Amino acid sequence: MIDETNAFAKTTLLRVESLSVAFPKPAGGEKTVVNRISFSVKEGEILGIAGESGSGKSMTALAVMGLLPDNARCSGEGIFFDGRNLCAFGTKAKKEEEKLRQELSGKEMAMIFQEPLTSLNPVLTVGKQLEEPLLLHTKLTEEERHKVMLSALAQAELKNGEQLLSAYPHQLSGGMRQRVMIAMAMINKPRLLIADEPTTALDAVTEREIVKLIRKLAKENRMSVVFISHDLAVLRELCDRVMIMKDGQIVEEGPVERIFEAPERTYTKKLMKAAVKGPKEGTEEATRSREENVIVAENICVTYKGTRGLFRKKEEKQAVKNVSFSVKRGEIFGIVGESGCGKSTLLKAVSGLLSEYEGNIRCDSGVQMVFQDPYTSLNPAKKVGWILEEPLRLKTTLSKEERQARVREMLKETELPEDAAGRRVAELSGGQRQRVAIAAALITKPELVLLDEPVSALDVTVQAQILELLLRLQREHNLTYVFVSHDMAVVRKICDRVMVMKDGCVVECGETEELFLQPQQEYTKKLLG
Amino acid sequence: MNYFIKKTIALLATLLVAAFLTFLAFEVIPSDAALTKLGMDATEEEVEALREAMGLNRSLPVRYGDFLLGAVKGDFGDSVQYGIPVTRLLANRFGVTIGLALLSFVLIVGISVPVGILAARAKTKTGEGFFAFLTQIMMAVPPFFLGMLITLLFGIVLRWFAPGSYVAAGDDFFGFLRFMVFPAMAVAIPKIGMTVRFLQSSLKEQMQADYVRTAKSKGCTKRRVLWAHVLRNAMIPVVTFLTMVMAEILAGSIVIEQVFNLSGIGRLLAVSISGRDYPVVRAIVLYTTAVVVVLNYGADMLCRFLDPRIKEM
Repeated sequence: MIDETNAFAKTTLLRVESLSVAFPKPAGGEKTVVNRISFSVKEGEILGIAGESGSGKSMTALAVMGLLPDNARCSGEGIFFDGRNLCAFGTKAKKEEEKLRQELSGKEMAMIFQEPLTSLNPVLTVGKQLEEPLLLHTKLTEEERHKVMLSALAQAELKNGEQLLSAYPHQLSGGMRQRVMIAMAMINKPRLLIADEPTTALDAVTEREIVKLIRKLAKENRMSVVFISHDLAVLRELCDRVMIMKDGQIVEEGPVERIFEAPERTYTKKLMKAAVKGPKEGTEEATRSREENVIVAENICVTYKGTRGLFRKKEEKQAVKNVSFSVKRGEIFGIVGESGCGKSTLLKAVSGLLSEYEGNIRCDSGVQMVFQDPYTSLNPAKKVGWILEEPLRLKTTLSKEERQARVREMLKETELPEDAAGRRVAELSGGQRQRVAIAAALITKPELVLLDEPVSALDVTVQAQILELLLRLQREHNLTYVFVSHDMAVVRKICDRVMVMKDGCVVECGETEELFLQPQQEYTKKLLG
Repeated sequence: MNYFIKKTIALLATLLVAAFLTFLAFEVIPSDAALTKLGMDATEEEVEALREAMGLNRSLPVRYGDFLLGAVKGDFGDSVQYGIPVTRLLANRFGVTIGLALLSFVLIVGISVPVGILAARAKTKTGEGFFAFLTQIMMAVPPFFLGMLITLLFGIVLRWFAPGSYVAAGDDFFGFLRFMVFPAMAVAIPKIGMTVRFLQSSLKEQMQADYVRTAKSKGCTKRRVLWAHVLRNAMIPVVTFLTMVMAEILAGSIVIEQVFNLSGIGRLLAVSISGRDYPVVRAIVLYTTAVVVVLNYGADMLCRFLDPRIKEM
């Protein structure tokens, strides 16, 4: 209210009026994913949209940008950008709408996406792709375009602009690709930037840098930003105003401090609570007997040999350099680090999936593994019951009835519905799939479970549920976990001891609370932020 | 350039191995060239004398060296059936087969690419059904029947060409084209059906890719999205497929050559096999392997140009 009486009152740049998005269901009828929502963004304002996957936040962003899939049906009163209605939903001719979109997209409004690798065209150089918005919307000469491109790359804090222009996307790191995407979106100095989970695919350190960069660019150019994320910590750092969405509707909306400090709605409160923070609870349990080492690894080195051609020398990359550690029975041991630090490789060596390593690994119990992406690591064509039974078929001599009883027991333990055994993996949600993956790992009753980023692909509420489940199973069955993650908050919540890795080496290793409260190494401090 | 040199050396090595295997295959066949030449009535001494004269008694490596040296010089010995040098025999036939292959290939590429794009853009159920039906028919008709249909329709009913009136391209280029376009159609139609399908699914897959969304967010028109972004990505697998098609049609089609009464490589191969004319068979097999190896090499080069992600392998 104060804003509007202010002499420098910000004008509204984007106004969405009762927007709905629906998709046809295969069985007939429609599924509404965005349900009559209205909101607005002022000039120079950063609006955050939070919510679980399936809450309709991405669909809202795509609708604003006019990028909804062909089969989506969009309705409402309008999406007004700077007073012009971008889609009058049927009243305006489709051709006309398309023309207006093409005129504004890439010039007045731009978008960056979640996965920077697939969002860039793999066969075109960075230069060609960066040049496109200039070719489409300006009349600059080739020389001028070149200069603008270099300055856009510099603005996105990318060095060696000249070299970058002739590079292909696959030659860049994840963080660099997202910077290229940002440079491309910013090249015509748009007034609105829509960012759809732009940091979800990046590691913690890169994530913070990208968030800072977006904030800096927005302030410098007086640009409005709609920033979509399931990561509440990121939104709190970046946004002026936050909007919480659930099931296609806006639950709560307000200034960032108010939402985080005094949430009104129960759902918002639940979301805040689910966002993992704070130390691991119940430290008295930490004293449980763990005299015995389950894993002892000494001087592990892993060298990846590149594929060797007929006339090419082998290229070598040392992924893990001289790493030693031990894990005690009943302990949750965390391994953290940025992507590419060798943590997953180390885990593979321990599990036996990787046999070419130097050093000694002694492992005293049955091992099972849970992977990051429950979408791709389970066979989508198989039924859950089949997947759960398979380890039993391979490793035990149980009869069919005994196996199925064990499957039912496991479904109950992992809080999956009883009829899940008859369903295919493709029909399950991400959280349910990860439960299936955990059930499949535990069904043979191993003592040691290796978890490779088991919650990274899930959104916050589901993340919290899966972590709860893992902790409960660990307590009940006295399991030992090795837990690999790049998410410090998750590690803090669940692990007893943590090892920090960088470039294949161990940076630091110690009790979780000690390490979080008094990190000894610079790198650990940086990682903790 | 380094990649180019490596690939070229690999190509030559592959050819050498292919030549050796071809040579070896005809050594293993339980048949005696001298005996074949003289017939079953020949006496032991006559056969032995001819074996000596033909050099069949020498050791295997020596004869391979001899064969290789001859192959490089273009000398594959004399045809048993025709009594003339194999090279001269083949030279006449190559013109027919290569001409037919090139013309077919032009038809395949020239028709498949635009039709494939149209098929990929078909949005309605009817449109999709039409292209699915069309390509299915094209692929399902057997080549000999297709050849006969074309001869009947264009040669006998419409009288656009006289069946069996092949003229060499060197003598009358337009006459050659006017005749050859019909057998080329018979060769091309099934391949067009396959290529359209392949390109259509490749395009559809690429149109779903994330980078298409990015291109639209930059304000690209539909036309620009297709030509500047999607097509090149979609062509990468199609190029490899087209290379295999090209290799296949360059090897000659026995059926089509028979139907249109063309004396090409395919028919010569059929005749030579039944006549146990091994020098000719050996030369044709070597030629076919060489075509496959060289075309694969070409496809590698082209894909590397199209797809920067292919690094030195």
